[in-house]
Amino acid sequence: MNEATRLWVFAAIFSIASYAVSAGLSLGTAAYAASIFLDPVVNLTLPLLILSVGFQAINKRGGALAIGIITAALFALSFMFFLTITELIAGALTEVSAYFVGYRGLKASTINTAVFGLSEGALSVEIGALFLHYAVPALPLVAFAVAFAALGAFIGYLGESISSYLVRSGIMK
Amino acid sequence: MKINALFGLASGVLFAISAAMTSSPFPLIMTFPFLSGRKRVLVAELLVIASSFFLLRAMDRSSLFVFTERTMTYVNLYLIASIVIDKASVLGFLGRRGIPLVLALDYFPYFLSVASDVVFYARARELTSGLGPRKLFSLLPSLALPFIVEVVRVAENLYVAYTVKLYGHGTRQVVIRPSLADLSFLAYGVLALCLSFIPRF
Repeated sequence: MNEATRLWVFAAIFSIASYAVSAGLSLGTAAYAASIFLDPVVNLTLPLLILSVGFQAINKRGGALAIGIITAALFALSFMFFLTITELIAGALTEVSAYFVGYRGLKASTINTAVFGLSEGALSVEIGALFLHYAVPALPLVAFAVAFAALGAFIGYLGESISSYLVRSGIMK
Repeated sequence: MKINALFGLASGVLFAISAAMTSSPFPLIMTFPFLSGRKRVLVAELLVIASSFFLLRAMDRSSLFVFTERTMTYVNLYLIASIVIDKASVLGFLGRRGIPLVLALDYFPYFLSVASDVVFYARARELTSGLGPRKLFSLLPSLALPFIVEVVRVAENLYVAYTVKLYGHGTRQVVIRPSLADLSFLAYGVLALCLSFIPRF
């Protein structure tokens, strides 16, 4: 069995799962889903949690970059170009951090998800504003970045607990 | 009317550039004809645009109206992409490398239904009643876990199905002309049959 195929299939499935959740959150296909999904806290957390488990499920060099590339392509196909640029950069930065800390374990999961959350949150705010022809000043951006990094670290902790449960129960290899 | 993904993307980039770089209302106006099938969206957008125009005018901040125009242009582009882009045509210019992307797009409705099922059953068990930020964080793993288990399962199954090789693309091909190896193996079987009929002494 081809390892590269496994990487791309897993990256594709985890990207679309995260994308489906965030699309479901922001558009609200049904009233009962909307009531919980319109909460901004959920909107920021659940997609990131799925990606965090995705990094650990792939557990291979290039996994974070592949997830970034496929998510970017999905956003490009729905004409959200500022998110395309954001996801490409966030995936690359997470790949760099994963090069040093690895993919599985509490430390790796926390750091990777914090890096992904920081870069995705701060860049999507900045690039989204640039697409509106407006540059966000440095101070709010730093505040955003710190908040997203803290949120990402917490989500990474949750993701580690979920994926270690999945590994122990034999669902995830 | 479905449009090839490559040309659709090029046109979308042009729309995004013209909305981001200029303050002309034309990108916004030119996106409206594509939404003619969605009357409710159209009415809501026109209401938003009109109200923001008159509010900003009353507050003497008409220069900010261009941000409304740009935001609405991007919202419209997102809606148009889901209407006009033929997503399977990604395979045309990405080839085999585009297969994971198209697979992912095919699974979109399935994951959407799984996510809404998970939320529906969580509500049915009254897990989400009286939802505040603190309770939400404690609830998050129990909402995410069923969904993630399903995602991992789909990925594993898909990987197995993806690597199964269907030789000959599933078409029937009876080989008329056997090769030398086939013939010699057949002859070996005949030999076995013949030898077994030789009476024992």
